[in-house]
Amino acid sequence: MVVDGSNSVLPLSEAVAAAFAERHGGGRVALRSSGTGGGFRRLCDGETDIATASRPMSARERARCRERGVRHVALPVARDGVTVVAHSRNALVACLGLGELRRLWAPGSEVSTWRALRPGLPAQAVRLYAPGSDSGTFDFFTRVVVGRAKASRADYDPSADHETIARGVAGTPWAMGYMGYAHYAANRHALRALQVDTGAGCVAPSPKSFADGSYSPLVRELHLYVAEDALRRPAVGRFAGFFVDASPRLAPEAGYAALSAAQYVRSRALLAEATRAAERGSS
Amino acid sequence: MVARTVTRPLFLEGTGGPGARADRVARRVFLACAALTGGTAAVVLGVLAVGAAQFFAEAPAGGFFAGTTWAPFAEEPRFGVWPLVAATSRITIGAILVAAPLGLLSAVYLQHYAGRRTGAVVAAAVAALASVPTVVFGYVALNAATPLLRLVWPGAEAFNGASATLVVGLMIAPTVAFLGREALAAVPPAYFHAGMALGASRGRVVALVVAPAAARGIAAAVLLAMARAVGETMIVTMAAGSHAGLAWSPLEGVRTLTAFVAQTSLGDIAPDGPDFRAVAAVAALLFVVTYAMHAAGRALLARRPAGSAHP
Amino acid sequence: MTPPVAERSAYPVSPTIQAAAKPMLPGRRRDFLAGASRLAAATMLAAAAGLAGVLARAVWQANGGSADGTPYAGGAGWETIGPAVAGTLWLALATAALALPIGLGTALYLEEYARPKRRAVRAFQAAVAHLAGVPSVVYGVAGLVVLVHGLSAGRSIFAGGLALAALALPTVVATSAEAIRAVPDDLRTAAYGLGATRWQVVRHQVLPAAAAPIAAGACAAITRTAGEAAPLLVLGATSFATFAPAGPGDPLVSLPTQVFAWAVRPQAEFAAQAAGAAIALLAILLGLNVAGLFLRRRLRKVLP
Repeated sequence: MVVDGSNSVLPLSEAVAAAFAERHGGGRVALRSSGTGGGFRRLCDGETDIATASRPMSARERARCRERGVRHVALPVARDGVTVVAHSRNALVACLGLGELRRLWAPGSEVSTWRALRPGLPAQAVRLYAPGSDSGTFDFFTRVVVGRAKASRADYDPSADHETIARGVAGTPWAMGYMGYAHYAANRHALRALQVDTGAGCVAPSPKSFADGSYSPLVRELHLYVAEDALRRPAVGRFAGFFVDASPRLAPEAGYAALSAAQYVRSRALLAEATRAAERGSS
Repeated sequence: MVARTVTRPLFLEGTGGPGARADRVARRVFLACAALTGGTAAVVLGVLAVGAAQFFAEAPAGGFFAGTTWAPFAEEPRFGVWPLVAATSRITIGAILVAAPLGLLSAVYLQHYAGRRTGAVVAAAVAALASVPTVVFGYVALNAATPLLRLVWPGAEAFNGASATLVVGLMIAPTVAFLGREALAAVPPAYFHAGMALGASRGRVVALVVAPAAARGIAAAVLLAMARAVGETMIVTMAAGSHAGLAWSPLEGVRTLTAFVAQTSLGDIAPDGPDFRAVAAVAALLFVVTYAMHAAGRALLARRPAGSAHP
Repeated sequence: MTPPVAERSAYPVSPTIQAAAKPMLPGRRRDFLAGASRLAAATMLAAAAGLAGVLARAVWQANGGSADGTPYAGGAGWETIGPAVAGTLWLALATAALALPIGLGTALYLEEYARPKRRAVRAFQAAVAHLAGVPSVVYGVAGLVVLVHGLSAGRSIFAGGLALAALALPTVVATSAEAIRAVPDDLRTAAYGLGATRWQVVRHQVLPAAAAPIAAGACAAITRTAGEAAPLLVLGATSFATFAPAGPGDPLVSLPTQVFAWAVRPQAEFAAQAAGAAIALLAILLGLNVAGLFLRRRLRKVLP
């Protein structure tokens, strides 16, 4: 089965696919991360069986899916926070307010040095790395921080791959960027995660602050979108079910916060219902 | 490339006879092959032309060629391709500054200095380098050249033009060496002997007699290697970064034309979206530039010096 | 300090001339090109050795592992590299099966059937030859639109094979045409004089005489495209597969794209995995080259 979508979910999908292959003697899973938008597009084109997503499907994407007759079910699998990172030796900045982030990332922003961002900081140029325009993390961050999805300054170094963003920020003095927490966790020795002041004091990103809601505006739920037609193949249902069942264990290992047990039960129920609907449709 | 004059006599055509039927079938099969080849080329060209036409319907050509901001996917898109062109030019010129001396001197060594055994070893190394896939060079640029560069210049960014340039230079050096050696070998031995007979050192003869006689071939070697550098994708995609601004320092990241295409495609390119139009326009520009460079290089190669031993 | 010139030169200089030249210009024996060209040759050697060393070192160091490892690095074993190896072999097979016959047929048509003096034929030939200089990533863009979105071939081995075949085609046409052109015209004149048809001349004279260089050229083109990552990335190659492709309809995986996917990750485990895949890729390319060499020698031995 073919899975495409969010780069933020990739560490989890890879861990799950590897465990699934081990358990089921080489279950046939192929992964790619074209970004949440690309994943939705491919799902609705009937190219893939499962799309992973770091933001919900937009109304326009939903309409396109309906137009093409692709029914799907969304299963929440984990919680992740968008993490703002800086170069590991940048000890002068520990916390940024949402307002500062907005000034930095707004379209046409003129903030090009740390001093312009906050007086008192050195006048070093801020080098910016962030996800490209296919990314769900980009859509989510711009919506929360700037106020409109996809509204961002354009003079940053874009990459579809969060690991490339991590490498860029880690290797460029005075650089800054944002990415999914799991990708930060995989590079934590090379990066410095900044706390974010969302109005109620500075909060550091961590699975704990994602779970208790204190990091809340920058926390999103990660979903699997499974095509109903694909569920007629038992292997797809088995993989999706395995994904949901394995997430409470694998998500924290891969650097996410697990959802509550009740939410996984609900995901399981949604999957079972969709499978029944698919079987009804085929008979 | 001299057109052959021997063809089947016309009076034999259409006379039937033994094997005429098989001949007709074979002709049709080969014609179909040629049509498939032509069709493939036409499809590649057609896709680029349609995509570029859609792109320019939206973005004025003046802005494309003169603009200095490349942000095709921003809310208010800007379509100035100049930063990408500047990055490609800088990396190409830097790479040829590495590859031309390295490759040409290696060619001189192989043709005029090497003993039989050492020559075979060096030639094997050059051939091995020539057959290494560019993605492996990309690995080297990212995981070996960049860390080394940062030891020397700690201010170098994680993705920078300098290490990509150096490795692209290494990648195209075998092309220069191979074509350069062919050019040197095409010079009649009499030139060399005459020079030596005048008592000049080997170096003077090679530099002042043989090399000028091989100038066309050497120029072609450099031009064809530069065409490869312009089209090189993996090294720059992996090691040069995605900074689409005009960078001045080689220690900063830059984004070339090819890197833009490859990095954009790491997401998803919808055939009806702005990403496809921008990618097609850049690919069309690459197509035109590399095609012209290749044609010019081949034209130089086709015209050998007068009195050449290998017409 | 005089080097034994006559032994070292590609063009032997008679000892008489050397002896005559030496006393004529005393002090002019210092050869500035000797040192420089040796340095360049040594640099080439060092580059080749350094490249091998970089890859070997990364794989070697992988045994240590890091405490901050990511849970999904699989190591450079068969489970991780195997699917990509199979994908690359499939792609090479598809390229050979498509580009070789079509390219050879095109070259035969252009060289043996088409009227060589026609301007259209010459223009076609030149256009195809220069396509060989167009970057591979451009073929990926065309393939994405035509194969993936137009023909709905998906991001499959099939689509990848077609794209790589299209990429190899101009080179196969050019090298085959050159090999055909090198066949002496006497063979053709004699055969036509006996009343042979074109096909008979192609079948019994041209192809046997040109088989070895045609095979060599095609093999070089196929080896070259088997190492291509850029067009497959644009087509949308899979970055993680738990199974080896078993047919043309399976998802597109390949060693070059896998080297890319792992090399760009900053963790040492992935660098090792990328280096391992790179070594596997180089081994496959070497194998293809050696196979081509054998084929070429076979073909040469069989024929007069």
